[in-house]
Amino acid sequence: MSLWEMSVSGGILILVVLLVRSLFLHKLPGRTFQALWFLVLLRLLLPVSIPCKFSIYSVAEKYLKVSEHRLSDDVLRQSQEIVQEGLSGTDDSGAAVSSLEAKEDRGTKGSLGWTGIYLAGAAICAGWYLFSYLRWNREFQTSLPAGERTVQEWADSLPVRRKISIRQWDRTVTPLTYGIVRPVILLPKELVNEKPEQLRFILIHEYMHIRHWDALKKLFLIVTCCIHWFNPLVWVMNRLANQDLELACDKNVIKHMGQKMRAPYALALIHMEEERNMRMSWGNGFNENAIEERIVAIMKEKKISILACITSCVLTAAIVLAFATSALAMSGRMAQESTATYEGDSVEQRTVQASQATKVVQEISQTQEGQTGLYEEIYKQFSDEVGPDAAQAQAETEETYQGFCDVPKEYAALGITANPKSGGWEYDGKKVAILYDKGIYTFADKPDEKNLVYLEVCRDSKNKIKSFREVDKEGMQKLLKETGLVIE
Amino acid sequence: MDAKLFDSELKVMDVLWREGDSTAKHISNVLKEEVGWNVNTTYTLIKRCIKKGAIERSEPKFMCHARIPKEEVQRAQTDELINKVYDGSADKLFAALLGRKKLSQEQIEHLKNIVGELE
Repeated sequence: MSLWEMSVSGGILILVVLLVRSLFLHKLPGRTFQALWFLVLLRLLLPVSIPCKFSIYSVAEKYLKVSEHRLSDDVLRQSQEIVQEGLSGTDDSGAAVSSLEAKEDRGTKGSLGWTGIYLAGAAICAGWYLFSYLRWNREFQTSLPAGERTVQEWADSLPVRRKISIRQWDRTVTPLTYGIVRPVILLPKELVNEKPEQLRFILIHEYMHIRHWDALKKLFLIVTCCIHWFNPLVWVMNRLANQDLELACDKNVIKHMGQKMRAPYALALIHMEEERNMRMSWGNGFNENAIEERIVAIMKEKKISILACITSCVLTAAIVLAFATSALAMSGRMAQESTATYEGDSVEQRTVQASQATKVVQEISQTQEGQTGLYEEIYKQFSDEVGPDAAQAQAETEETYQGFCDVPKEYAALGITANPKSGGWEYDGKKVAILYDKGIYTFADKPDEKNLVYLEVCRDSKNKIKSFREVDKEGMQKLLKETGLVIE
Repeated sequence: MDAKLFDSELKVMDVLWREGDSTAKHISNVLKEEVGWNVNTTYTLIKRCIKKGAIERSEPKFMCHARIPKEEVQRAQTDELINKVYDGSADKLFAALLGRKKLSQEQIEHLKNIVGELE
């Protein structure tokens, strides 16, 4: 699956989750949204496509049928082009092939540009995050050990395998936690000395973040944002998933401390927000909504009903099936595309096909009027079957071309006669070695050395035959150079 | 000295006040023991203190000298405390201190002297 496809289907999945979230945020168990965001991340990071008939992409393919028609239209158009070029002359078909090549070259050059832009964007995002992390990490190093011994003792007693350090930092007004392998809780200096109740809430909140590896989850979100930096929905997901991490954390705190502590905990959160707004003049707006959502979620906390559980399971499963999978037809089409009918060596294929088509046309003796029915017949073959080979095969098996020695009326009118004994042509008493009617007909014979004539057919602007021009062997060889025929 | 010193920087100054002039290496060893900072962190902080004018560096072996005495910092911080928390009134701070525990006569006299100085 390509990055683009991952991003688009990921984006659609994000929209679906957004919809579910706005409708059911406080009504479904919190685990639902954790699972859903996890699914989104999988969809965005893993280049697998799982074909499934329930997928909306399958449905889209079935009812729109866009891809199939487009595929056959392309082939039909290309084969028509090849026939047209064949009719108008050999170098034109050569030109047709080389213009196709040129188009492909232009295609790849364009995609190089896009790749460059993508890499630059991803590098900028990653660089920014890395720079921030390094800078803040350096600052965090200057924190002091927590003022109160008891706090560190409490941390050591926690049932988490990693060692949690609790430190005190005078550069922040709100507590924060960082570090995946060696988690650190940074407390503002004032808090350590303040009401122990508030401190307790804070510590348990941060502990819950650590216990559920939230720092690691945030890292995955950031990586996804860097990879899909061009998709604005992914940035929206980042913000909302982070909010959902906080909500889940709050829920875990209440579960740990008991329902009775809901109100004091909520008040402690509000108090901290006030502190924060006092010290920092920026950082409002989004934060107001965020904290409100959290308070509501905490206070609305009720027992998870069986119905809610079942609903969330069913909903999650439905979303996975419909949006996280890809179309059956789609993966079939991708397989077709990947066998490359339009890439690399198929240009050679087309060269061969083009020259074959011209040969077919050359072997058919013709005048414009007499043969139009023939062209229509071949054209019809093209339309019925897909691919120029079919037409060529038809042309060869049906003997629609005249016998070798029969002279076309046009040439006969200007003095070419056929010699039934030798099967060759004669003109002006000489044996015709080669008669070259550019793009329409080439007669080549191998009579005895003496008394040969090489004729070039001259046509006027209306493409009506005018006269023959006698040329010598070298001259004829030059004329024939484009066709690749060599006079022995 | 112009800017305010953060806690981390005060910790560095504390080592100098306690032990007198020391090399940067010595300071970082002490702090590694006391607060767990690595050498880079300590050196960064020493450089910040130098920039703020609190430490003077002399060259054999990066010797550090405290340019401000401890008392000056204490005074500045007390002023800040009074202004921020006690509405600019030294009396209120005083009352709070007195209310916390019983003071001996000697201590009360001592405090009065200080107030006299501050005023």
